[in-house]
Amino acid sequence: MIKSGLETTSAELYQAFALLCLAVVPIAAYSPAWAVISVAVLLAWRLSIERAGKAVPPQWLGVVLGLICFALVYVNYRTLNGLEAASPLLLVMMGLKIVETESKRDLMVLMLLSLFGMATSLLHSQGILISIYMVLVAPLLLAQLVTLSHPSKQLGLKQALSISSKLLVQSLPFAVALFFLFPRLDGPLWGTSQQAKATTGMPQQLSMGDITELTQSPNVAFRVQFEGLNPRPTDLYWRVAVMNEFDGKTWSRGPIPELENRGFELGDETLSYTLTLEPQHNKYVPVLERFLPTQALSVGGKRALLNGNWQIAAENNIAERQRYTALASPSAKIQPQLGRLERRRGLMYSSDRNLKAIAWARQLADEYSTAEQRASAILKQFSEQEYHYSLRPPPLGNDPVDEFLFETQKGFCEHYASSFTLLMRAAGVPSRVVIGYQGGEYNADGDYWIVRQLDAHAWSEIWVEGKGWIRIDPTYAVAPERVESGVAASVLEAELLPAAARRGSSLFRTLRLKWDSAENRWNQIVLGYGEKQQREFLEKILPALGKAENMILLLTVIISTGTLSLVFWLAWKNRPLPISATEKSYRRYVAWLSTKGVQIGASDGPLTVAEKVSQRWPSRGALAQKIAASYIAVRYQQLEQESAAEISQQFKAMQQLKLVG
Amino acid sequence: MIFGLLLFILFILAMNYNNSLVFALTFFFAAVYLVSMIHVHRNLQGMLVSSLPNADVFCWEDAIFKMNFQNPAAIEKNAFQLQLKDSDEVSHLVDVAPRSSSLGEISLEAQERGTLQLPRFSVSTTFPGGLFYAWSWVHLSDSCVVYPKPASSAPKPPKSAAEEGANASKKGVEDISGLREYQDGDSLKRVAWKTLAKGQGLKTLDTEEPADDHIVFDWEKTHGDVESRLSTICRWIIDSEAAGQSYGLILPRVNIGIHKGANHRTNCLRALARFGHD
Repeated sequence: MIKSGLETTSAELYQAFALLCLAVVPIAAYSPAWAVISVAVLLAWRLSIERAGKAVPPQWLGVVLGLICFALVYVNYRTLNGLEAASPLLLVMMGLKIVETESKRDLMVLMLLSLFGMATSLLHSQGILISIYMVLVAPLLLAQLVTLSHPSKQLGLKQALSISSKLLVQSLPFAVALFFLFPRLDGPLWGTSQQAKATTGMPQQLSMGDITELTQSPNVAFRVQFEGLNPRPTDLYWRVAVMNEFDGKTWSRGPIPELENRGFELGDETLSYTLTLEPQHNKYVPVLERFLPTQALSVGGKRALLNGNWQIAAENNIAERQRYTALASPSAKIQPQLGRLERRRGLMYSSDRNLKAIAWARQLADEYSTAEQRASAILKQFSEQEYHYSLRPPPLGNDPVDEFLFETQKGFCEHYASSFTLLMRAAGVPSRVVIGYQGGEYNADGDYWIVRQLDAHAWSEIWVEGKGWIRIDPTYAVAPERVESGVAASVLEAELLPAAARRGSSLFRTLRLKWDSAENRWNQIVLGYGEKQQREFLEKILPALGKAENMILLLTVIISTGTLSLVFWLAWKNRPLPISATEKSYRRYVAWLSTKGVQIGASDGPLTVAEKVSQRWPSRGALAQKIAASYIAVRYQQLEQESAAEISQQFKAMQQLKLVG
Repeated sequence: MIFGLLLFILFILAMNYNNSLVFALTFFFAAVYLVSMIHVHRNLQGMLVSSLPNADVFCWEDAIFKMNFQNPAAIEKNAFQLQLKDSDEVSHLVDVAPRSSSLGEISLEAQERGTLQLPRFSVSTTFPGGLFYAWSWVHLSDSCVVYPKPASSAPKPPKSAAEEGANASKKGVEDISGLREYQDGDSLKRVAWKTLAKGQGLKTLDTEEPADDHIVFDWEKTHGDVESRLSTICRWIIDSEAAGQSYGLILPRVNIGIHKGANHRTNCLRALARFGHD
C-alpha cells in the first residue's frame, strides 16, 4: 500500500521546477534583486537536497525563514499589501514552498502560486511580450496540472500535452463567451490604494532641474493619434499641470480653487485626437492646449474635470493604461474676462528674493504699456543676449532667478519659464507656469505620435485683456529647435540624452518605431474592451445585449448549452461497447463449459480456458485451442466477421463430441 | 476548493484594475475548471468492479483483496485511488485501457481468526487536472479466510490412539486406513470401485503413504485456551507439511483424514479458521 501524500519522484520534481522557473520570469522582473536571489538560493538548496537524497527541512525552519522574508518585504515597501509588494512577497512564498516540497500536493500549490504570480505580473504590464508569454505558459501549466493528478505514474510529456490540449480546446469556447459577454464595470471596486511608485513622471512641484532630470527618461508618457491632419510640432503643447505659487525658488500648484469662470470662445478649427496614456501613478491627464471645456472626459472610469487652473485632473491615480478622445481648438480664447481673485492669484510673488529681476520688471512695466510689449522685451533679451539652452547649467543659490538672468545665463526650459513668469508677474501681468510635454516623435508606421518623459517641457502663459490666456514659450526665443525638433536638436550636451531622443534616420530607429507601432496596436486591442466598448460592440450584434442583465442571460444560456453538450458528448464516448456477435458466441461457450463442470474464473483468459478444457477432456483440447485462437483474433486483432461464424461452428462441434471416460 | 477561491481573487483583481489580460487568464482557467469537472466525472463513470479470488492469510498478516476493474468504454480511464473507509492508506490503480481490465488491490490487516469481510471502500479520481474529486463507495461482499497465527514454538505433537492403531496394521490396498475421499483431479484408475459398489461413497486408494510417517493432530490432546490450542495445531500443520509428513486433524465435529499436499493443508487450516464460527 502506498501511503497517501503521494511522494514525487526526482524526475517529476525537476520537470515541475523547470516549468516553475519559466512561469516565474515575469514575477521576477517586477521584484527587487534580493527577492530573486533568495528564491534562486532556496531552489538550489532544494535541488541539492534532492540530489543527495536527504530529507526535506523541518517545518519550523520554513516558518522562521518566512517571518524573516516577510519582515524584509515590509521594510522595503512599508506594507505587505498592495501591488508593489505583491511580486516579491509571492516570490518569497514560492521559494519557501519549494524548500519544503515533498508531495504532488505541494507541487500543485506551487503551480497555483505561479498562476497567481502570472496574473499579478499582468497587472504591471499588458504589453505584447508578456501576452505572448502568457499564451505559451498557460497551456504548459495546464499540462503540469494534468501530470500531477496522476498519482503513481509519471505521465509522459506527450501524453500530458495531448490530454491538456483536449481540455484546452474544449475550454476555449467557454472562455471566449465569458470574455466577451461577462459585463465589464469600469472603475475600481475599491479606491486604488496605490503607493507612490518610484517612477519618473511629471513632478508635483517645479524646482529648477526637475524637467532636466526628466530628459533622462525614455519611458513613454503617452501615444496620441490625430483625426485628420497632424498639427505642426510648434503647436504640439500638451498641458499637464499649472503652477501658480512661487516662493522664489520653487513653483507649486497652490490650493486649486473651483472653476468660476468658464469663459471660452471657440476658434476656427477644432482638432480631435485619441490619447493612450501610460500609467502615471498620479492624477494628471495630459491634453492638448486649448482644451474644449464642454467635453466630458472619462479617465480611469471616472469623470476627469477641469479645475480652477484650467487643467484636467482625474479623480484617482492613473494606475492602468487609459485611452480617451478629446478636442482642442488652437485659436480659441480662454477666459477673456478674469475674475478679481483669479487676477490676484496670477500676480502674486514673494518680494524677498530675486530683487534685481523684480526691479527690472518694474522698469519694463514703466517703459511698455501693454502686456505683449513687456513680454517681447524680455524675449528679446533672451534671444539677443548671450543666453544658452543647456542640460548642465551651473547650480543656483538663494536668488535663482537673479543668478540665472544676470549671471549664469544658462539653463533649461524650466529656468526660462520660471524667470519669465516671475518677471511678468512683477510687471503687473497675470501669468503662471505650465508644465507638460512639447512635441513628440512621429511614427509614420501607424500615423501617431510618441511622447516620452524626455519631451517634458515647461512654458508660461500670460493673461491679456480681451484675449484671455496666451501661451508664451521663452524657450522658443533661446532655442527654437527645441520646439521644432525636440530636445536632442537643441542642446549642446545631446550625447547625454537617451537614444530614444534622437530623431535621425537609422536602421535602429526604424526598427524601434516598428516595434512601438506593434505595441501600440496591441495596446489598442487590449484596451479596447471596457464598459463602453463592450456595450457598443454587443449592441451592434444584438441591440438588446447592451444591458448587463441580457449579457448575463446570454452567457448563462451559452454556458449551460455548452456544458450539456460536453456532458452528452463525453457520455457517448464513454458508452460501454456493444457486445459483438463474437463475444456473444464466446460467452455462451464459456457458460456451457461451466454447466459441464469446468470451472472458469472471471479472470481466466481464452488460453487458460482452453487449457482447462484440455485437462478435463483431452480429446476436445484441439477444438478448444481453435476457439481460443479465433476469439483472440477478434478481441485483440479486430478480425471480426469470419471469426464470429467460426467460433459458433467450433462450439457446435465441441458440443457434439461425446464425453469420453 | 482552493482553485475556485484563487479564480475568484483573480477575478476581483481583474474587475478592479479593469485589466483585459487578467480577465482573459481568469476566464480561461475558469473554463478549464468547468470542463475538467465534466472530465473527472466521466473518468470514474461506468467502471465495473468485481472481486477476484484471494489468498488465505494468517492472523496479523495483511490480507490482500484483489479486484478486477473493468473499463467497458472506448476511452482510457486513469488514475484511480482505492481507500478503505476509515483508513488513511491509499492504493493506486493506475490506468485501465479501453475495453480491458486492470487489477487493483486493497490490503487490510487480518486481526481476527475466521472470515475477514472487505469493508466498503471508495474508488476516487482527480484525473485529469487535479481540480475536482469524484468518488464512489463500493460494497463488494468479498471475504478472506484467516487462519490462526501459528504458535512461535510448540511442543512436539503427541500421537493419538487412532494413529497407534493405524501404525500397527499396514496391509494392502483394502485397508480402511488406505482410503480417502475422492478429490477432484484424482486419477480414475485409483478410485476404489468396490467401495463405491458397496455404497460407501466415492473413495480413492491411498497406498503411497509411508505408513510410519503420519500423525494425527488431536484437539483433545492440546491444552490451554481455544486460541492458543488452535495456534499450536496450526504450527504443527505447517511444520508437518514443510517436512513432507502426512497428517490428519481431529477437532470437535471435524475429522480430516491423513493426507498431505497443498489442498490438504488448506483444508486443515481452514478447519482451524472456521472453528467456533460455524
